[in-house]
Amino acid sequence: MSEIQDRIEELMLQKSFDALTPAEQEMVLSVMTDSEFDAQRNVLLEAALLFRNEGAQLVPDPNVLFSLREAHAAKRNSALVGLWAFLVGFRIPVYQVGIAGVLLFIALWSVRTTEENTPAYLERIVYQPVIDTIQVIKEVMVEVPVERIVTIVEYRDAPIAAAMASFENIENGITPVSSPPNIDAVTRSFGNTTVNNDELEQFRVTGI
Amino acid sequence: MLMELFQNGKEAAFDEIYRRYSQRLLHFMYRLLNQDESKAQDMLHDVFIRLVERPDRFDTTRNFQSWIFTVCSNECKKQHRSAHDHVDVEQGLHIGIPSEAKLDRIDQKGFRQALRSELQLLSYDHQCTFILRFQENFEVREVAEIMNCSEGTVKSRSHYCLKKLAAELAVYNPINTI
Repeated sequence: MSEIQDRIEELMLQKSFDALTPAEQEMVLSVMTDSEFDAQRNVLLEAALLFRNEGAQLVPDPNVLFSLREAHAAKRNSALVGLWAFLVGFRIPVYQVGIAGVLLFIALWSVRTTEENTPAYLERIVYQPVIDTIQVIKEVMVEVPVERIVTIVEYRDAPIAAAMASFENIENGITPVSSPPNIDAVTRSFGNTTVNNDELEQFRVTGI
Repeated sequence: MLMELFQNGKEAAFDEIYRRYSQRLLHFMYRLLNQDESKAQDMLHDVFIRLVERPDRFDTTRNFQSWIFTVCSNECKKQHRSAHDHVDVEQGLHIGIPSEAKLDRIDQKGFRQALRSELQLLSYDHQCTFILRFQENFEVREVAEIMNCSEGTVKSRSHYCLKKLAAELAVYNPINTI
């Protein structure tokens, strides 16, 4: 039934009863008379004209939009002012402020202490030499005579060559005297004696 | 979409909403407020002010057009319930309906005046249904959503209005110009 009514409503907006097809007329007549159909159709069409004409004449007051924009701007400003007023006008007991201050101080102090204890890691490129040789330092002890004992046995009858044979050649530092020593200078010596200072000077070792 | 932008503080979105809907809403409320234009203008202002002040009241998952027409419809319904409006309707009735002596001089203009008056005599729900359906050209489903009722109720009310108006205006015997 509802579907028929919907269909009839569509037909009312399209054509009069006389313009309907026989099938459509039959459908309409099952619900209403032809005059009722035309009367309702007339209402629909006249209402559409009425609404269209009146709607074209109605225009929103420009002041409405102006007022709305002002209200919108005021609302935005009041939101900011309201937040500020809330923050300024917020009342809490003094002891709570004190507690909050102490807690804040402790928090900041602990953060600062933590920062101090935290080692600072700086990224740095370190070039480390790699030694692939082993150097062995061998300490060699060199005994250098600073004094020598020369025993000269005077043989009255021995030739000078015998005296020369007893002359010790120490290391390579001393070159044997090619010529025989002056017998005359030591003929009378029977104890320790020294060689010439010039010869000993070359064996002097300093810093030991 | 526009309401989402407006809810996020875009003022241009509000201007666009106003441009799209203000004229239609004004006409809709003008009809429901017994063709009182100044009252309709005030109501239009009030509805949009509420939109400005509390844009969060709109559920963005809903259809904005249906929602704004629902708001306007509810506001008009409050006005319609007042005794003052009832008197105006009665006055409109007396102005709109011609006397028996003038029946022979009825023309199309008279028919429209009578139609206008008869519309005001309908109950608010019937009047609103008829206007949404044939003035604003909403589908039955949309009217049902705006008026918070079933589609069957909308169809029933719509057919009742047509039948009632046709019966009341039959005395005018309008000239069929279509």
